[in-house]
Amino acid sequence: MNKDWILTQESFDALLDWLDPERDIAGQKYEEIRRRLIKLYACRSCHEPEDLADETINRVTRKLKEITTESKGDRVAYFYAVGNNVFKEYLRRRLPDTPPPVGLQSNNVELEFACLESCLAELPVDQRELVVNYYQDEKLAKINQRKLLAENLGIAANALRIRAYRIRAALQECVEKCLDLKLQ
Amino acid sequence: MRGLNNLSVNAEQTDRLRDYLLGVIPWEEASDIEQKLLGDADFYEEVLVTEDELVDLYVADRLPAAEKQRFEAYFLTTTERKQKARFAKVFAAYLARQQAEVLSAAAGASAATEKPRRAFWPGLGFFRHRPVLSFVAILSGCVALVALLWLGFRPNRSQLGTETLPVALIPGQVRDGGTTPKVVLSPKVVSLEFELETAPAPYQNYYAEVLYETERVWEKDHLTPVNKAGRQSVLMAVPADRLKPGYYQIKLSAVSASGELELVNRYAFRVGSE
Repeated sequence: MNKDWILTQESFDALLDWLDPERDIAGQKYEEIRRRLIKLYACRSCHEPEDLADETINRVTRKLKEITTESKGDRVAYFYAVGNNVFKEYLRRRLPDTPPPVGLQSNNVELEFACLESCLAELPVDQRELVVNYYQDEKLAKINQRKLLAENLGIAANALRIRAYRIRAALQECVEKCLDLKLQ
Repeated sequence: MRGLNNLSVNAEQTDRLRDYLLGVIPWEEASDIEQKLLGDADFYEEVLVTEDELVDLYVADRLPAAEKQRFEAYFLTTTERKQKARFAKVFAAYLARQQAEVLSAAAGASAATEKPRRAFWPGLGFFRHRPVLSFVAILSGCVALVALLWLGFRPNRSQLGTETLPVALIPGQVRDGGTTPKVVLSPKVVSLEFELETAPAPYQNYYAEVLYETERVWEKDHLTPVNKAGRQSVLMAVPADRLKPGYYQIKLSAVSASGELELVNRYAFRVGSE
């Protein structure tokens, strides 16, 4: 591997062209692929998934000339194949002692609650009710509550599950921003 | 919202993804999942949702010991996932506190609307000054009442007509193709006796959990295998009131001498009502 290779604007443009002739769509595809590569490496329990995703993209970009002249196959498959090589190298250089997981205890519980409350208040009422009702209760009560919610909204259980997830993801992002601001 | 209602996800897929996230599935299977993760936006989102659900189970301390260990050592390795877990913990604590406050406020309101009652004792001046006599009188009254109730409402099990429903399951029966065994719960059924067929194995201790979608509705450990007509199975009783109509899965794990769980079989069944 050529470790001195640097991603230039020219090569990045070539990557975008390869992903899609429309620049906006190519940009979106690039972002999606990067996000999913990060997830893939996280799923393989890598500690620096972002670095590995960027390395994978760099290598695909570097090989673009060979790829485009060889065939016009599935782009995702290229990223996956190159990603497997990057991962193998990562495994070879990974230190045997991995750091222990960080504890989840917090010293700022009240601040976190305050941020959560403020972020919940920013949500539209229907979304706020949905996310609170969906995640509230324990075990059987939760199952019944979710069934009832899905019935009331007239959607399937899995559609409700995805909807609740999206609201929760937005809520988490809002809380993290709020905490960053308050802890600055 | 893109493709929201077109997503078809079942408990098996969620379980498979959960195993993938914990790094406990074979490489070939993981490879299929990963290629789909890279190429399919809906599937990518499904992975994110399953991650959240796994994190919630961990935060609620509802993962079996072996999965909890895998979660901490394998899953919880990136900053993003640690943030997810921290948020899940805060969110769960917040919701629990909110619920406790609502219940407490409801109890307070209920107490405030009750009229103050006159003390019971003042009208019984005779007994108030004779505590021993009062005690004997109350005790006699209680004994008489219990005797009356026993004679009048003696339970007769045959009249009550409660039933334990035997259900034999073999591993791997799935929803698709309509082969999932159906269990019909009549009002008389108070419990189900599951007979989970397993391949002969050297284990003497099993752990089983009943899952409705991703929620565990019942679990039992210290289950021992039994041999009947040359077949080995594990028996587990489940109260009928834990099972609402719908699809379920039982995960049977062998417990090693060191207490580690090893998933042995999965069994599917569905519950319907009469």
